[in-house]
Parts: sequence; structure tokens; C-alpha cells
Amino acid sequence: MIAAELLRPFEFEFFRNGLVVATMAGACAGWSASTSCSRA
Amino acid sequence: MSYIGHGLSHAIFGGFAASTLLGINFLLGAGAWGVASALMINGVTRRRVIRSDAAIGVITTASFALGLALFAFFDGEGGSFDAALFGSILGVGTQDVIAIAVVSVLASTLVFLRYRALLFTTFDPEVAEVSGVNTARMDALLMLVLAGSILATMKILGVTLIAAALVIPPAVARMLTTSFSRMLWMSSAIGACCGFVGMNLSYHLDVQSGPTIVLVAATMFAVVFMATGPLGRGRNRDLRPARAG
Repeated sequence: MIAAELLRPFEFEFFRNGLVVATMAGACAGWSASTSCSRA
Repeated sequence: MSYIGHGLSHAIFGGFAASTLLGINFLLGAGAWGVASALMINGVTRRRVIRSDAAIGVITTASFALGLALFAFFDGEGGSFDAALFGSILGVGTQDVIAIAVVSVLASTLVFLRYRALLFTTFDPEVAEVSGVNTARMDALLMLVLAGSILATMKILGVTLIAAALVIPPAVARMLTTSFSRMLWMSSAIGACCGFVGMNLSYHLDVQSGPTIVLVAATMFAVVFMATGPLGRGRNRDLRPARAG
């Protein structure tokens, strides 16, 4: 029941797209910013 | 230099306004604007007459102001002002997924092929230049990747919240390690984790995606800050390059 509720948003394409973009963008942002944050 | 991400996100807002009002594809219009801003900041900074923070402040704020003026002049036609400022998951489409995939491949390729030059440029640009590393090109490449990341993230987080997504993951990683190479992958993992958890929570709590992702990241920062304590790894030590490079 709880698992079904947790997985429900994955039925929607907009959510799947948003999840992929948020996850990958988070990784890219973390990486690219870590180089600039390490600078003086 | 942490300010560069914050500044570039505001600069790209000018491109967002111009592209939506002119009916140009957002990724192309704002992308070109972001690249131009990044190269301009890099060019002004390298003259060394003014400090990088000042160059970022002037160029990006002017671009943000131009975006606001364009929206006001055209009465906000053709684009959602709120979505640009605070982000909206509803605006994310397949082309955004492709865009972030391209940015990810470019970023990974840059690290894989130019790791040593990147490391050298980050820690000691003057010695790197003397040693034959083209630091101007490395800086430009880094800014382009940063601009691409911001562009891909803008629809989810919005201009005002991108800064947190750019600064918090490296800050958390910095508290956990003193190695630059570990900081790179840890920042990526933390950023990805915040994006994934934040998006899921945003749906279930019925809160906008941008604020939720930032709050997840801020919570992670607070937890790591308290868990590492005053003697946390690297809290008081300088970041060092990895032994293996």
C-alpha cells in the first residue's frame, strides 16, 4: 500500500522527466560548482 | 569564486527573458546568453584590473536587470515570470532531459580527459600557467560546464534557488573530506541525492520542486555540520589534491 503510493508519481511523464533532470542536474551542479568553490 | 554559480544563474535569466519574448527556443537562447556571459566574466577577470567578484557582480546583475526590464517592457508576454524565478516541474520536457544528458557527458569527458590540468588550474593557476597549462581555456571550459548545468537546472529550481544547489553539495563534501578528487564525486553524489529525494518529496508534500530540493540539501548540510563536530574532517584544514591525481 505504502509502496504503491510512493511509486504513484512515476506514472506521470512530467514527474519522470523532472526526476531525471533534477538528479542529473544535481550531480552536474555539484561537480561543476565544487571546482569553483575550491578556488580562492 | 562560489559566487560565480549564483551570478551566472542571474545572467541566464536575461537570456531566458529575451528568448521567451522573441519566441526562440529557451535552451538555445538562454544557452547562448549564458555562454556569452561566462566568457565575458572570464575575459574581464583575466585582465586582473578588477577582482572576479566585481566582474561577476557587474555582468550578471546587468543581465538580470535586462531580463526584468524586458519582461516589464513586453508585459510578460510568452513566458512565466514565476516559473523562471522559482522553477516549475511542469515546464520540464524531453528536450530538457536530452540537454542535461549532453551536459553530463561533456562534464564527465572534461574530468576524464583534463583532470590534471583541472586540478592544477584549481589549486595554483599561476604555477599551472608557467608549467604550460592553458589556464584561460580551462577557466572558460569550467564556466561553460557551469553555465550548462545552470541552464539544465533552471526550469526545476528557478533563478533564485539555483545558488543553493550549486554551493551546498560542495560545502557538504568539503566537511567530509580534504581530498579534491573525493570532493568531486561526493559533490556529484550529494547533488544527485538531493535532486532525487527533493523531487519525490515535492510530489508527496505538494510543495514546489525548487524549494523542496533546496530544503533537502540544507537539511543535509545541517546534519553533516552537526555530525562532524568542531573536529570534523577537514573543517580547519586546506583542501589538498589527491595523491593518485
